Amino acid sequence: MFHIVEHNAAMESTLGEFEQLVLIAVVRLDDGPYGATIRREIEERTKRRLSISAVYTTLDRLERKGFVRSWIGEPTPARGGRRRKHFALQPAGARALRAAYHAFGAMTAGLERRLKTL
Amino acid sequence: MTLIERLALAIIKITAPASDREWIVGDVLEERERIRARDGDGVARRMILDDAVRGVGTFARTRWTLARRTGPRGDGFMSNLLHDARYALRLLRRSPGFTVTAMMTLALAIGANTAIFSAVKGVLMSPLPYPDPDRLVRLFEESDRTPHFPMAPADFRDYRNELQSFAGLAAFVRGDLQIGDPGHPEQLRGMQVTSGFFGVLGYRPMMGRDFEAADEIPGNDAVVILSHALWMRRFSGDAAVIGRSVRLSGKSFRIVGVLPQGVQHVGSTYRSYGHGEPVDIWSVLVVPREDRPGLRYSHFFNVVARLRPDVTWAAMEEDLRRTGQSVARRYPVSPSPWRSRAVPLKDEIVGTAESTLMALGGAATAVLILACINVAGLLLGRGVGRGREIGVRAALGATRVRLTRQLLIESVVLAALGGAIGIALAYGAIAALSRFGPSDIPRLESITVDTQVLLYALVATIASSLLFGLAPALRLASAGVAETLKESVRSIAGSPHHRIRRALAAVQLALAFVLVVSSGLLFRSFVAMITTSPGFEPAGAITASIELPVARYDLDASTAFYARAAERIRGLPGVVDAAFTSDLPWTGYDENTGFTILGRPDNDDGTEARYHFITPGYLRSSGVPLVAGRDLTTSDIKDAPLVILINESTARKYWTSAQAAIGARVNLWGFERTVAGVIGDVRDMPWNGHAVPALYFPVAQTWQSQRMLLVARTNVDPTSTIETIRHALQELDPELPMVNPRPLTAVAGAAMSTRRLTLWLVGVFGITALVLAVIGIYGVMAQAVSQRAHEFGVRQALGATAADIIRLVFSSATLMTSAGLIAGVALALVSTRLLASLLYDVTALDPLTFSMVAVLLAASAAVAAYLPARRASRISAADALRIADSC
Repeated sequence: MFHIVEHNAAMESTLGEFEQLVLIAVVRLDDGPYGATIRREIEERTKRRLSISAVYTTLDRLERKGFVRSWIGEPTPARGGRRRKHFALQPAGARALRAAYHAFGAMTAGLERRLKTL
Repeated sequence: MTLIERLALAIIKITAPASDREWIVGDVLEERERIRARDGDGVARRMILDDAVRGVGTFARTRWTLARRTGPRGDGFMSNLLHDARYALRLLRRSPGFTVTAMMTLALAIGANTAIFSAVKGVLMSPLPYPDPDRLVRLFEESDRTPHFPMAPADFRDYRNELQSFAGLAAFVRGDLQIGDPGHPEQLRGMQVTSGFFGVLGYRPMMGRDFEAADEIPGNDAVVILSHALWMRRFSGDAAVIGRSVRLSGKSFRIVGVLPQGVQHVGSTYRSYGHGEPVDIWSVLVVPREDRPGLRYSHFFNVVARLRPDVTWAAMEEDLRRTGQSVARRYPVSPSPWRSRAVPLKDEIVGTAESTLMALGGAATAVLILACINVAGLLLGRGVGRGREIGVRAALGATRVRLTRQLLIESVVLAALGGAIGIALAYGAIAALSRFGPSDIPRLESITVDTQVLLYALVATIASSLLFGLAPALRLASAGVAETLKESVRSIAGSPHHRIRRALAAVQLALAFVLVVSSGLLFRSFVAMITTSPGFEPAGAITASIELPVARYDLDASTAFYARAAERIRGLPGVVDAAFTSDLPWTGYDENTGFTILGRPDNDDGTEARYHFITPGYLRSSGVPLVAGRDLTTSDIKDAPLVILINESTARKYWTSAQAAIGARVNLWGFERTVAGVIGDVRDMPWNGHAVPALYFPVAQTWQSQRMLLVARTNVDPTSTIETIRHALQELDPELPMVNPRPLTAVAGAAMSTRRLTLWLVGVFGITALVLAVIGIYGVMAQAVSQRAHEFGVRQALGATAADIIRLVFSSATLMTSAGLIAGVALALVSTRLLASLLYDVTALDPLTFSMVAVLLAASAAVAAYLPARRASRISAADALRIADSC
């Protein structure tokens, strides 16, 4: 009846699928990417349309987990005087991404051809 | 940026999380610029619209997740809601008596409101099924004596030529046609229309063409347009049907058009099928080009017209006035000037239904209020026993808001259950209405339960739940912890809570009074209607419709046919007498003519009567009595002296008595005729106390080609004679269909069917209201008694008798009841006026009905108060004191 037990924020070290894509994009765009460029990168490569809010929500979550850090950039006239929020990979994020990559590689070892022709 | 892009950007702004809004919007703008430079404006616009849509989706998903989650991360709204709802259902299941009572009360009230709302919406509010329906009007002619007449053909021709305000005018008159092989003839429902009729309404034939001006010339007029249903049924949907000939009513017609599905006839109550009734076949209504007196004095064209888009109503009326003056000058002899009048088509179709529906709507709303008050009372009563439960919750930390919300959700759940059943009831009621309902309800087919109606039901449900749930919820939730955990819940009878309940019970009594009085008035009207002698004898007679096609029967042949047919049918087993007549009573027949009485100064002002055509035997067949003189006989034939029959009203109006009228000479339609007999009056309509002056021509001597009705009096069940009569007619003419055979009682009953339905509905509301009010009073009194149990115990211990206790209880009930009745009488004095048009032989403020209902309600209230009072007096003093202490 009463929710007395607190709901703790879990210290997750695993990455969701979308979080992986975002982190990989941050790695790829190593010149201080921001939301628009990250989204563009994922859309162009995966051919999926994304919501900009979803991208930022994921980046916020990654920042809370300590996988990325952010800083506010200068306003530009093209954005109507609004500032940019840039992101960069953190060591914890690099570790999580490497672990995910290795796990994926281990699972898919030897299955490349079959996975491609599924 | 275009407006729609600005709108999309605004949506993106709103749906973005507040902390990230700045860079989200900035990113969108930057991206848009990039796309615009690369791919152009169109792609850029699509991109930003897409982003807006996705933004809304993300926003909704996040809110939903938060709402379902409880705890610091989510607000738990949804999960609390579901939890409260489940708890409410559990509580309701535990007290089935209360739940079922409350649910059924609400179901009836919400169901009634939903059904009536759908009727109001369908009949009054929804637009007519034509393009731009507000531009359609019906045109009538009026003189000082006649306010609402169809147009005369020559007038119609002149108006059509000269009026400026209309994009089109067309006239329509009923014209059935007969089709089929010998032995299987069928009478098609037909209308005759002038050129451009469908264009005026806004329809275009699916194949072929509309009627044109050239078709209106006699000789060119043997053309027909098929309805879609007839085309499928009789012509197998043949695409090559245009130009084919078809034999109808003994003549050859050429098919020039086929209508699409869904064509709705405009309709009229005079010489036409009603609005929305199916029409099988359309033929041409010839508009005469010459000018004869008959074409100016015979008013039988129904006219519909479409206003030009840019013309105002005032401009149109001015146009009508001017043209009317010009037309009136063409009358060779002008008794009183004829003017033209326009009525919006919708008003003409809906007619008197508006006041009936409004009255029913008021009744249904009153019942809903009553139901809510009752359920509120039930909840309050239940709430007394829940003090402990609420107290525990409050002690464990539930806020007042939380408690109130939970209690309100209980009300909503209760209302939702009742509402769901109510909607199902409404569905059923409307389905029953469409199938078995009176046929003269206008636009019956538009009464459906659609999204709007369901929305209304939903709003009514929620509003009701708030209405009956808010007060008990607030009261219960605001009670302090200590107070509710107290051992004895003893509240004084004069507490504000109890006063409110008594006031509500008085309100219920007042509303019930209004509804019961209304039912009483309608009931007395109905009884008066059916017990007053109609002037004819509906029971024991069968009727059918016969139309002799002009192409095969001239005047003499028709007369001979009717005489032969009547004789043949008279000889059938079970048939006592048979005759043909131009019309049956109470069907809205209204053909009038002027006449002059010989030997009196020329008075063509006001000497007029309704005329009918009958064959000998009509009096016995229809049950109309002969009052003076003689009936028509088979000797009253063409070359014999011309005679007519008149009714008592005519005799009384123009001669002093029936006897005095016998032998009088009148001039009708250019010939002198003798009044041979006076027959009894037939009421104009069931709810008219009077009869219209009427004349009856013998068909053999004077007749206008038209559909005739067979009336046969039987000494067996009338329906059993249908087949033998059909067979006899077939022998006389195998190509002649017998249409719509039905007992005369069905004809008479149909006229009263709408009023019967209204009476039934208001009656149901009245009874429901009475029951609810009585329950309400009982509930209040029972609660009052239980709360005063201690006091009664003390009084009894001090020597009060049972009678004293009862008297005490009654005196507190009397104030409440009197207040309720007085309020009820005041309310009824104002609201029964709405019923005035439905009443017969009884006024809206009839003192007898008012007093009887007042007595009935006072007695019911007394019984409702007596039961708890008796229970109170039965409890011994010791018990009462003990009960009070252990509360």
